[in-house]
Amino acid sequence: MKRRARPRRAPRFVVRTLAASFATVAVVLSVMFGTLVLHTREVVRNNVVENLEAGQRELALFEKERQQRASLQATVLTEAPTLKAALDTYLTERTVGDPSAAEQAKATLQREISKLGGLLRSDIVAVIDPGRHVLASAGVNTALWPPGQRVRLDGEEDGVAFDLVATVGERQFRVVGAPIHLGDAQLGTLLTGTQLDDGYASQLASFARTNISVVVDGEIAATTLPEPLRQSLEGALRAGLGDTGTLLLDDEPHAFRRLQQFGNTSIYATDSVAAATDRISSAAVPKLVGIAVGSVILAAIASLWLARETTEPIRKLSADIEGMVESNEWSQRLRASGSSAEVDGLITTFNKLIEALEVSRSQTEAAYVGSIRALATALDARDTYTAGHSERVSALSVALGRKMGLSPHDLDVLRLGALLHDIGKIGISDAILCKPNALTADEFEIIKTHPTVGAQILRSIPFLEEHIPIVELHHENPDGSGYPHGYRGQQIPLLARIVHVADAFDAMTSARAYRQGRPAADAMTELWRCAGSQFHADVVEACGAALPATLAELQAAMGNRDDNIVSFARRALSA
Amino acid sequence: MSNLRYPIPVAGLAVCIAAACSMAEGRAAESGRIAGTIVLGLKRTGRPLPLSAYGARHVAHDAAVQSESSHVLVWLKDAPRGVKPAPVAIEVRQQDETFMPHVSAIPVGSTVKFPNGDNYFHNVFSLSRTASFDLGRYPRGDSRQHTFTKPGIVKVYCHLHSHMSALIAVFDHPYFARGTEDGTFTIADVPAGRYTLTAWHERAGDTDVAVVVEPGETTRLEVVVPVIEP
Repeated sequence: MKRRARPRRAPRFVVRTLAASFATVAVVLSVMFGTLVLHTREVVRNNVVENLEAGQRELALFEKERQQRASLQATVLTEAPTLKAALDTYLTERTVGDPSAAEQAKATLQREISKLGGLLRSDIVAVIDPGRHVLASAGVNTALWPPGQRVRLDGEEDGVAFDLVATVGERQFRVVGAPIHLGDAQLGTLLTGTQLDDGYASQLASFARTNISVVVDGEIAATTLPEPLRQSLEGALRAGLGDTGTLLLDDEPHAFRRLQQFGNTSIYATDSVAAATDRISSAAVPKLVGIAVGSVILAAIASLWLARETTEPIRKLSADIEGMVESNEWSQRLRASGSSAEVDGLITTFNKLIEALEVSRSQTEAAYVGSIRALATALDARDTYTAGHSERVSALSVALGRKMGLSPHDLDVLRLGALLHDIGKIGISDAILCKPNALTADEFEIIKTHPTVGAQILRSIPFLEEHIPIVELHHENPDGSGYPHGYRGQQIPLLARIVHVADAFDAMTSARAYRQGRPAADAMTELWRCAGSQFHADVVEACGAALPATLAELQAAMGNRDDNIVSFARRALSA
Repeated sequence: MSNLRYPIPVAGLAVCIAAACSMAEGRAAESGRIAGTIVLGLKRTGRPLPLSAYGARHVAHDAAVQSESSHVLVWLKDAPRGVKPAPVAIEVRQQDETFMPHVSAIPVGSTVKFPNGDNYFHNVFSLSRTASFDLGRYPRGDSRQHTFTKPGIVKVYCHLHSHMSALIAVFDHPYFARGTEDGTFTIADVPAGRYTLTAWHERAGDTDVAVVVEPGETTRLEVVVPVIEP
């Protein structure tokens, strides 16, 4: 279960979900915005063109009505008797050749025209003679119309007789003309009109709600367009401009439309498609940004939630396994998380793995234990007097341990450790080990090496690590008189103390080549006698409490095979 | 344009009259006659201006049609002085919203009556230097008059009907005539001599023709007057 170090650290799951959701949101938003922008641009372009068309219709109606009104007005004015009389008198006096009389008549005429100018408040009111010369004028632009000034009129040939463009010097006026009749004769024409200047363009622009340009003879006479656009339009006019379409003004797409044409004059409306798009965009962008931010936040929340929902069971599973690894406790099984079928499947698989490992380990351990037990049995069998000793000590030790309330794990360790407690004797020669009489001091020194040797043997087997203290220290005495280290009291582990007592008890009750086995009661007495010095008193007490219940059976079995004691002890353990 | 010489300086008038009176008898025998025909030509001074969408005001349907040649005046430009014509009294009638006749020629001191022959009010006024007047408004059957004391041309209008106009030419000599309906004219009792005859139309101005008058003879001639196309 060790985590292997990787060359590159894998990113956290939440990073992946965030990246995936953000990428999705980004793509969706981009496509949405792109489509919207294209669609909007198309719609706006059509809209602009439609607006221009609508503007054209309205303006045409408006202008026609205005011209008709002006024409009617002029016609009515021409019927003013004083005006007619003054004009006719002037013309007559002029033919008769009395300059002062003519001047007087002309002054009368001028006075009449000035009165009309004051009434009409138009840019120009003028009377011209059939030779297109100004006789009298009034209005804002009267200075441009001095008497005798030649006036060029365009638009007469179009059949729209009353809708004319008058050119005076360099200036253009949109005028209506009404002939002044006297009897069958036509004395002249009354013109009223507006100068085709920027003010006129502005007036039309405010009505049509677009930019207006007045083009006379292919040149811009007046416009509401700012300077760079005006220059672009002049260029476009030189190249030729149709009735409607789009053109680039200062590199910006504009829709244009010829709203009216009279005489040598055209009125064009132009409207920037981009400006219209911008107007709509500026209204829509805050909303779209709101949607975008909302989407990103929702995506982030969803990603975090998803990541948490996915990783939390995995993290918990990981922590559980970590706990099992640290405690080396594999008996428990992981419970299904219920979060997702995949994680539960992983848990189930892991549990199966643990079971398989457990089985495998117990089989391995069983094989080891079997081998060691065989070794211990073989060791015991070297001497007839010690045959079955290891098994008995093991059984007794477990009985004592159980009496002392040890945990199942400690009992397992005790059982196997007791079985192996004399394994170090394998290196001691039969001559010493099976010597029928008392050992010499040197020989005893050799005997005293067996706990150390046994410990060394067990160190080579990994899972017997816990059993080493039992083997190594089962001859230590509480008073420090034991071997090999001479540990005292609490320095000696409990399991070693138990095995020490059980070993002594079995040694005393077993026959030796040089003596008979002593009765259990004697052995107990001996134990009690040495309690505190050679044996730990609490273990001896446990022994005393554990043994009497089985003493009779133990006594009866003494004459028979030692196996009986083992089976007895096993029964006692399993009970 | 015109070489018509009037008014005559008043200071020299008395001298001339005296001289003329003394020579009147003798001259009579030496005088001749001018009889002519007026031919109206056409002359364009420019393209006609477009008509109004509403057209002109034509109301005088019932008015008698007056020949255009009757609107032409003829006189001797360099008329001999000394003969003072006798004043006359004439009528310029207002009938069917039209002044009848449109053109009149009278000697100085003559009186013109303007009787109203229509069922509605009319007015007569003039803005001309020669005779400025306003006779006011008056109903059918009523009449107003004005005496013209200065030579010259007077245009007369009606304030109520702007299309009405009349022309009255006032002369301080007797050598003038108005065209007739058939386009002829006659100037009688012209002292023999060489003259310049002027034919005048209000739209065309002067047309001068040289004429020689023999005693007791009738000089015949044709005068072509260019008129602006109506």
